[in-house]
Amino acid sequence: MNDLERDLKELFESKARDVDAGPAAPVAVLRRGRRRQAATVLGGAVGGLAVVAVGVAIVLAAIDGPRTDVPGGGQRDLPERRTSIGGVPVTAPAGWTLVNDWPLATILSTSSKTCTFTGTGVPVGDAGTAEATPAGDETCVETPAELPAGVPVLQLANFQIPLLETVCGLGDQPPTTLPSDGVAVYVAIFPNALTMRAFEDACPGSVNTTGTTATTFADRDVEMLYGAIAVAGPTARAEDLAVAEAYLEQLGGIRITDTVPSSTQGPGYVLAAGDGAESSWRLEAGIIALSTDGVELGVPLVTITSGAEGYETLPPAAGGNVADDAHDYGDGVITWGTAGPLVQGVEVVTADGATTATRLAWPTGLFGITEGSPLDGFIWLANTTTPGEVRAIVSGGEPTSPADDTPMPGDVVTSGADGLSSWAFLWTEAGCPVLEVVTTRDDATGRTESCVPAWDGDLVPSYIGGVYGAEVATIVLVGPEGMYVDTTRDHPGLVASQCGVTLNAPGWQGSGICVVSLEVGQSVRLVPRDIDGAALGDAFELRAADGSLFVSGEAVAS
Amino acid sequence: MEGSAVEIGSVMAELYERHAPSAIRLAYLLTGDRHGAEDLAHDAFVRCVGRFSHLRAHEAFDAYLRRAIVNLHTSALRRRRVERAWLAREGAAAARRSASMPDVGATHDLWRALGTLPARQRAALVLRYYEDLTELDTAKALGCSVAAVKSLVARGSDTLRAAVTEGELR
Repeated sequence: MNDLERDLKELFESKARDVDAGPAAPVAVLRRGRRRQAATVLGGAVGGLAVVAVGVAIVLAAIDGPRTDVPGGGQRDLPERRTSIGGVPVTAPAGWTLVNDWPLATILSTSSKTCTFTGTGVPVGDAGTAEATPAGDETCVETPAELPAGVPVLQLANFQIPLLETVCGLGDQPPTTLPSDGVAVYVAIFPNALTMRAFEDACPGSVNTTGTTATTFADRDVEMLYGAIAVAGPTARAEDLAVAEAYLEQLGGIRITDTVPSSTQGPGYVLAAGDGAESSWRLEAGIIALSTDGVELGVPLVTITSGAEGYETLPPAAGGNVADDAHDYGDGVITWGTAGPLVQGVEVVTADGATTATRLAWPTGLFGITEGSPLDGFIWLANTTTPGEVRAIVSGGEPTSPADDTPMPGDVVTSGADGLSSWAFLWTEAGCPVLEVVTTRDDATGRTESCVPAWDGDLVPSYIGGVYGAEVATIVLVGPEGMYVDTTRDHPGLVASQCGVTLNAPGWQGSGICVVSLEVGQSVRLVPRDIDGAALGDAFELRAADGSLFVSGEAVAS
Repeated sequence: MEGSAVEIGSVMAELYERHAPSAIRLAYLLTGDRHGAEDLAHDAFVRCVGRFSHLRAHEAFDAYLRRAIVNLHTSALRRRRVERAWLAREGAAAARRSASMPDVGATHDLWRALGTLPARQRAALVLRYYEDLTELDTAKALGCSVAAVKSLVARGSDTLRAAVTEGELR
């Protein structure tokens, strides 16, 4: 353990001791914890009554606004998607709608609890307040909620189900209207009890199925019961019914490893999915913020690693803008995002070339859910083997990087400071960066006469250069991204090195920079290493002279 | 069913008492903000007790909770939401409390420099040097590869080292 690591450890322990973490659980935390337990009960407030499907009611109230259909651009017929939702495996055939309803499990209450107590009322005082002092024990009566159709996990349908509706009745919310040729499978957990007759009654259209109508399965420890049911309109096609019935047969009697639903995302339409060595992923369009304050629509990328779900979200982009993010899932990189209506297309550029992103339309089931932020652009994704640069094609023009990623001449693309100098990389009209030393310990300034080149993919470092002053030399080393340097010196003079510098600029993907500051008259021995500590090249020595730098005894610049 | 509401509440309270202090300390080291740390730890706690099966996996609860804290901390959406929710809930009261808190960060260059690190770099350093996790366990908590952990720690350390050197010169 080096000095910095020791200092960090002592600092962390010292700061942690400062925190007074009382052991008493705040009531609100316990209450929220109970609400997350779909299998148990909701601890309601004293005298309160938790109503089944209150969550849905909250959401519906929040979206009670004008519905205006806005056409979105992009592909509507989705390809096959193979994924799992809440641990339940599902394959959506091409063109079918798959809805992730699992987040609703975090807000639906599964029992009601009514408590009564006797108290002494105090008249309203001058301050306008009143109090009731409980006397004696309170009495609580807890009743399992009537959930004949359970709490929905997912819905698979050959039509687009409105996002916050279900093909089975849910509490006070009636089932959505089935198209005449509509077919759907509804999967739910049953925290209280599953009565098949009641389940079928809650799901109109189950009578129109011809084979297996419903089935059950459980989690690995058989602590949670799941039910799945098929519903169909009177003129449903045989091939669609066969899809639903095959899915029911696949689910029948299986044991699943369940996952914890998100409490911050709402339901969403599953647009694409994939698996990799390290994680699987699912691209959705739906509610990215769910609260009593209202809802926000956007695109979450759900990642599933070791049974735990993680969420990254992006809002709809406006105008000619593109919002983007990327996820390395082990066998490749999924780059995804949203694009505004002025964007014609998106491509991801890697060392292997440009990959045109697949455009996906915003599901029409989202239109009109919120006011403002019309969904008039599109959603996109691209699968590449390595991370790449995202470029947007706007109004038929040449591909350009998003504005915030394309430096302009004079832009500072990165900057830093150490004990000896303060420096910046400035973008030039030549489309490349120069190093500018803003100031040094002796108030010197200067910049490199020529551009600093990106890593050549071969030598490490592929470039040594910088600004060499009368008292301080500021030296740039360029190598692969992630490069750092071990420094040793046999003198008390100052040496500062700052690695991990990257430039978010065209041509600099995969390149890393170390900036080393050295007092004139002093030398330092460097070993470039990768993030695993392996040497990337031979050790070499830098010695700073007044206006010059010597590398292992050879002058390289002056 | 698994048990009555009273039993469940009792188990949950016991879990909270056992794990909350360390969770809040970890959250504090990640955020540098005491009240934000409590909020973060509580959110993570709620997420981890979301399923009863997890409650019974006592030996795994620490790992679940640690991962949830780190995930929530590094989620930009969550930070936005927490800030909004916190302001709405606490309003001026929170502001008054914050104003009365000593600015511990300003007293230490290293602590201050930590606050400038990207969230995942800071999390990697906290998990390695406070939680004493191995690189493999840190990778699991961060949901990334071991190589990525090494990179995060190396970059974070470089930045801190430079910042401390600068502080010594002042």
